[in-house]
Amino acid sequence: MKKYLFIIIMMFMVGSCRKEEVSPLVRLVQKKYVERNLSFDGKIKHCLILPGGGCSGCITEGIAFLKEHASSFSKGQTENIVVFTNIYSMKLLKRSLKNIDMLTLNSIVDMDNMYLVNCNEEIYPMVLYLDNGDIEKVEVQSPSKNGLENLKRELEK
Amino acid sequence: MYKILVPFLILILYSCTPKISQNENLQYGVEIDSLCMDKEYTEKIISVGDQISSCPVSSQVVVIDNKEKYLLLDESVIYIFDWEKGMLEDSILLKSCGRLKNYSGFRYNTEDSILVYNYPKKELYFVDVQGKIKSKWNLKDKKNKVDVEAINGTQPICCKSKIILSGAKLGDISSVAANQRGVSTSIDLKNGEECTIFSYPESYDKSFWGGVYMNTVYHAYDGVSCMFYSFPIDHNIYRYNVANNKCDTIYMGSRYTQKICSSGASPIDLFTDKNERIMYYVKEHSYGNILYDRYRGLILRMAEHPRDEMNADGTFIKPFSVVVWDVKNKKLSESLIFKDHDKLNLGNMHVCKEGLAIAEINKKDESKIVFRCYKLR
Repeated sequence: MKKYLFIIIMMFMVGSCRKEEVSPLVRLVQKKYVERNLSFDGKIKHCLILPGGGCSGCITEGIAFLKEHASSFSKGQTENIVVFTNIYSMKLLKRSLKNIDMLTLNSIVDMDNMYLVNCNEEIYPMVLYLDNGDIEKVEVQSPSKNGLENLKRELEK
Repeated sequence: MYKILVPFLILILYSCTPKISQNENLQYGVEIDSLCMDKEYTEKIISVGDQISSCPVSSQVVVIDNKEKYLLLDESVIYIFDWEKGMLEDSILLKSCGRLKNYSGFRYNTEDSILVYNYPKKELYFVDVQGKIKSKWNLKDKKNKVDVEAINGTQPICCKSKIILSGAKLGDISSVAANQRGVSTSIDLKNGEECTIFSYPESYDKSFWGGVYMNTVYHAYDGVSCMFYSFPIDHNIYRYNVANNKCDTIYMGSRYTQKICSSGASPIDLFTDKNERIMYYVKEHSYGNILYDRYRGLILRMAEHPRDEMNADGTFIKPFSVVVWDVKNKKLSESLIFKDHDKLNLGNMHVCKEGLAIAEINKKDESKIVFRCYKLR
């Protein structure tokens, strides 16, 4: 009996020592950003990437989220940043932001699509969770995934 | 045992690999007249200002009161510009049609007859210039599942008391049942009956064509009774007469296109790998939009030619030439290949009195749309 108990405890310990598996999406974003020499300031915790084209409903949710949490992404803070990428039209982007002046946001306007990762998820708003400049986790806002709800919880902590 | 197992495994692996088929252009390289289009162009400038979109997906050049106008749909408004002067003259408010997003579009017939399609709601409206709804159809639960797109290339058409709507399907067409392959549907204005009038041609039976870009359908209307359909993989176009339901083919292949090959990848691989999906299309010949020129009785068809890579920013507009069919004289011609394809927006091209107008892509100055007008003979 003791022998089995010992084995179970050992298995549990080995299992718990295993590093959390990095998702393929995280690996892909990490790889692409390294290739393109993109890095994040160590202070940044969350990066919201909003594409200009793709899943229109999801992008509308992303824009609405940004409007609602504009103060969390303001220029005065350093923890959150928003990246506008795959911009079809600056005019339409500004129009969709309505009352929010882009100059008041801690933002990057990515006209060269450097932050756009070539994958099926690029059509959705993406949230990068960062630790000391390293990408730890990536979540998307899609019809089946609610990445913005998780970000909301993080911002309200 | 191995003698049986090994050939069996080889057979299974072979049958899992998609077969590549080719659509040969039997008239490839034939000398044809290339003087249909002037190489030189004049510019037409539409001043959209700082609020109206400079890259509409649904727009039209139309004659109103003997003058050419440029109409564009932006959100829930059709803006009317004078084509010559480029100034905004009027607008039609379409709030009654809901939020017109994504693949929503319109077609102006007369001031009492404007077709508007709301893509998210799958609703079609007949409105007048006041934006007042005269009739409305919901296409959501229709049997003939054509996923209607009303943007440029497949604008809704009103022809012989019928409304014609078209849209592409995604995926492997060859695996879809024959009665589910419809790309164009008609609604009878008298009794509201809907039926599929055109499906993917046989050329899609042979193999898998990438599932996305090569599945696109384009249509044009001659203003009398004929619809013309163009498919990316087919050297022929299809003429469908709405009055008598007869269909024939017209050869409109490009002299630069020897063959179009299907994708060798499996549908699952292309579904999961966006890059591979795009690169198959980018590296292959194909055909694009089709327009009817009522002034000169010409059919214009875009032939798209391969390129090696996408641009660094992920865009991938292909070099193109314009194949022209003179309907009356049955004469085929083709322009040279446009090398400045990256500067042109083939999603915003129209026939005007002068010739073929193609919008330039200009992200730096969004206060105007600059059209290049190429004179047609």
